[in-house]
Amino acid sequence: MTAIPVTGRWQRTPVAFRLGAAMLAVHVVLAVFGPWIAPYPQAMMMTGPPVQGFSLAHPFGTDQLGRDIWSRVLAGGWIVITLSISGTVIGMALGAAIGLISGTIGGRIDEVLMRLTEAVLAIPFLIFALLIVSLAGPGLQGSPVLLIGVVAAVYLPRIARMARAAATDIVTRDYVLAARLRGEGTWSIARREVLPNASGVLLVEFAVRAGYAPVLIGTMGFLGFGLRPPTPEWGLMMAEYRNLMTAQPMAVFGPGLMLASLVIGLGFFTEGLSAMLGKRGSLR
Amino acid sequence: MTQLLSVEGLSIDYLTAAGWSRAVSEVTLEIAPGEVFGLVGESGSGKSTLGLAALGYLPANARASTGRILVEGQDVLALPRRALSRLRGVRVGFVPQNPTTALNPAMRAGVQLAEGLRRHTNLSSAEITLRCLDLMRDVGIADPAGALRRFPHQLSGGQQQRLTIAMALACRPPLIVLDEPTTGLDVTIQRQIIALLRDLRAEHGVAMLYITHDLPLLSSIADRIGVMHQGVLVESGAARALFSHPRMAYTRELIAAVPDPDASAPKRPAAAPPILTATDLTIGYARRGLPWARSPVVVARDVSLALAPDETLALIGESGSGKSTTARAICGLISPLAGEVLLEGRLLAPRLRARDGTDLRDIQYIFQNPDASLNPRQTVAQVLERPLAVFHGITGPEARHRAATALAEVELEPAYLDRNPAQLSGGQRQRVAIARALLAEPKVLLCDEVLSALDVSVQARIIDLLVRVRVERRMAMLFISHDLAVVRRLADRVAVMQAGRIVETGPTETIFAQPTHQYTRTLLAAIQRLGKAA
Amino acid sequence: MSFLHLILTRIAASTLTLVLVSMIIFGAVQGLPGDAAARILGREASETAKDRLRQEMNLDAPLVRRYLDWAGGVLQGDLGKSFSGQKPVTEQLLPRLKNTLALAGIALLLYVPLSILPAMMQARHPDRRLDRTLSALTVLILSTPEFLFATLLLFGLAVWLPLFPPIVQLSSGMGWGAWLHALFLPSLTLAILMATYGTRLLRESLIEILQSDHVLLAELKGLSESRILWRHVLPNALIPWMNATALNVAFMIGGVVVVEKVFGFPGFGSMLVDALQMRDLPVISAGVLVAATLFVLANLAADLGALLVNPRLRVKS
Repeated sequence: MTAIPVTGRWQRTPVAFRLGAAMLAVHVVLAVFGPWIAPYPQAMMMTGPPVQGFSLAHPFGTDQLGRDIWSRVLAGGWIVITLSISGTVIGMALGAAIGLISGTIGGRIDEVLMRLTEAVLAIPFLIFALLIVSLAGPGLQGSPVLLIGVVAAVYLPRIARMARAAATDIVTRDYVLAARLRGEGTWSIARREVLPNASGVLLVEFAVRAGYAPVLIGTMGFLGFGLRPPTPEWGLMMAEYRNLMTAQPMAVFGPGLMLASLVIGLGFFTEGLSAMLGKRGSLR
Repeated sequence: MTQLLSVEGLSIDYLTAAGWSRAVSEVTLEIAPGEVFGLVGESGSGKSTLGLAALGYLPANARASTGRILVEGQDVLALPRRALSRLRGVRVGFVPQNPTTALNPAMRAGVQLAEGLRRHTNLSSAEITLRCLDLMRDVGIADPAGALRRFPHQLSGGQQQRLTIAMALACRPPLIVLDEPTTGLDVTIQRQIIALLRDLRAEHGVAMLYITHDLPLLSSIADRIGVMHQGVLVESGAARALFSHPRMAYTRELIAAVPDPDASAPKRPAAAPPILTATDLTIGYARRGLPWARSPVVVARDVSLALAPDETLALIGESGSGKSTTARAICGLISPLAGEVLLEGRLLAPRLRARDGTDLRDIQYIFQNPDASLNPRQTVAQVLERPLAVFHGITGPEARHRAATALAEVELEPAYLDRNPAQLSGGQRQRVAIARALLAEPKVLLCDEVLSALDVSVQARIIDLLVRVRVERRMAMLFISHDLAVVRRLADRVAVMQAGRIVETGPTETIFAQPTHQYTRTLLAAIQRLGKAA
Repeated sequence: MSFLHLILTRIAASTLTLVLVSMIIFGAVQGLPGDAAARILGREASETAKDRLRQEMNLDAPLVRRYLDWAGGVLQGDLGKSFSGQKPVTEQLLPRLKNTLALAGIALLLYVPLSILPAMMQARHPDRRLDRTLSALTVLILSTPEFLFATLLLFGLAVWLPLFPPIVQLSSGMGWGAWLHALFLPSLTLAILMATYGTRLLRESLIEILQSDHVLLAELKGLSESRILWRHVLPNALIPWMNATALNVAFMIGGVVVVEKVFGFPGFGSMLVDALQMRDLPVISAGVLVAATLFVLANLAADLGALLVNPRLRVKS
């Protein structure tokens, strides 16, 4: 028998987890301290010649109005991260509560609830998201609150279905039967027996969803259903600068790079997390 | 060179998170042509690793650090891949432990049987078909042509195992390795498979390396036996000599742990009026599907039982006979379709939700597998304190104190209170599950195959524990088991179940000495006895 | 339960889902509380415009009645008239749908080899260099937003290296070659986006099956490596892959919106986005219902496909 080598907890985590955590840390630092790091105020025009490529003064170049794209990108991080996290948290909390309780109760209520979920899920999620924005009317369009609501609404049924699947699996375990034999109620079983055993799956699910939220927000911005100009949201910026693609490709790829690296960081983080939990988190 | 297989000082290591750990340690053994060598040991003793090595197979994270293994003089661990595939199936056959997972679910039986022949012989496809039919007949499958056309899941467990044996024999290898070939099977089928293997050996003179954890079973087939413990071959020798004169302490322990089917519990005077009676229980599960097709599947019919206080009633039968279902209906996990359960003369509601705290407290259920019956996310203290809070309203330091006392009663240190189930061994987990049941202070204990997930030596100690606490607390116990030797040791009375009905009930001695029902006789005949050929 | 029973159960469940979807869509589009006309046209709209809209939508009739009228029309192939063009929705929708189905069909054909071959190469020697490279590439593409990936391909293969047209234009007089040439780049984009999911999943299930008992037994029978791989491993690994493919097809119905927008493709997705932008309610209702129907059909096809491929599902349920 060889002794287990004594190393820190951090060293024993998967490489993917550490890499992802590091990338996320950089993003969070940039998002929080962006306004101080940025060379120019993000909305300031004519910081240099318009539609100019890379230079030391403008790492991502400038746009038609001469705004510094690097400064705009830095200002956008905070918006993207806040909207993503708050939308995902709301969708997660409601979805997990509904799914876990529905799965623990079982029977008729569960069946009806899941049929409804199934029906909502039959609408492709992007179309569902666009539909909500469209139906919310011109008054609400472009507001961050609506966007948070859209992220939550898109995720709610998906998370509910996943949580319910976890719960229906867990309630067949003998320790839940043992709790039933003690006469424990649904609430107590959901809280004491089901939730602690579903928490690993839920955590991975949260990370996966939070990782896709920036893409969803960006895609909405790109299609003209998200935030309104001149907000420096990355997806919106890419849509705005699409016609500059031949003249100043960095205007498109700068925000794209930031968005992709945020998502990749979250992806690695999630992969490491699920490896540590011994569960496979599929990305969809 | 007369030896078919010779293992010379072989050691195999596995790469784990903590470095290389030894699974097989300098084992030396030999098997002559036509000889059956039984290799016995508990789980994790390295016996399966050794068996696979005889086919030149090492798992990806394993290495042979010393010694070698020779088949007909060839060092099989040194063979290149191409030569290995001419050895496997041709010189050494393999019969796996669990045929359900070992057969390709998406391929018909006939294709799986024929593919070895197609690879290793020059027979035409017509000849191969004939050979397959012969093989199926050899292994005792009644409708060979029909069985060859089926997918594995369409065959019974016994037929699946017969098929894997046919696959191992297909190219007539002089040696086959059998890795726990009867473990998942019912006793009567186990017996048939052993009889088949004996016949095949007599007919073809094939040598076998028979790996098992079941010592009594080996006495009916092995010429010589080797005992493995923590990777070491502690003792080997002729079967009879080993049983009558075991030399090593571990072997003696192993033999002592085997319950003697001829030893019985001390007789007690006839009991008082029953504490628990079940009358004409008919139990079934609702079938899922379209509304008009939802008729229940009846698993048990007209089951009646009476349990006296301070009595152990054993419920025996094969898997699927309805034993567990009956126990689950008594404790309320399943509502019976018909019939009633009385506890101390009061009628228990069929539905669990309708039972009150006293009803729930008085009947405690202990599950088969302690890995599944303890919440992995709770500590032992949390597991034990919950019934105290629910049934007796005891919480806080008093609950912890009582939990520690209960642990002492099941012979565990109080230090275990703050561990997770994952940090305990299987036997320790089952002790915690027993302690949880005792803390409710029940009058009736339902034990559902509580030993079957445990190693033999652990089983013996759990039996002692159960007998002791039952006597001390004067509880009634319904003991469900398929292991007749255990039942004979602790039960006062026995009820025999077959296909959802109780076919015979009576005092243990009477049932074992003069079984009246044909099915009981079959079950009794299947018992393996140490050192005696069945 | 018999095989036929299983199939009928799945079809019944899918039909029920579709009925529920139609209720949800109709309820969301017309049944939300408040003044629908004001919501659609904006608060500043003139009273006359709002009145005209209310009349057009027959807003005074009860909701259930309006739903039944609409659903009855849908069943007879009448999806109503669009607000903007005042043309029947079907006339506007069908040609666009045909283009999109062609796009999706080509994408699906490209998807099959693009997802199976890399996974087979990876699973043969897991954790070697080839596996790691392909895995990294997969994660990279998976993490790139679809619209960015599409823009990259467009920039690379249509602008920087002008192999394909940057804007897809389809006309009726087009030859097969020109048609395929125009459709290829958006199809390839969709196919790669789908294949990353398929490859990842197939790699994992291949590795899992390579470690299963029945593959060990096949190896201990002395079978050849290729027979083990093609006959024992792949058929079993394809079962979860087929489910993933259904999910992929479902994803494609949403993803097609983005890809069509990037390539200016005259398809169903870009039509739906335009309708959503202009709040053309009849087109929206019809478009979302069509998308949901395609989704449900894709899942149904996958379920039935799994029943056919997996013999275990056929007998027991």
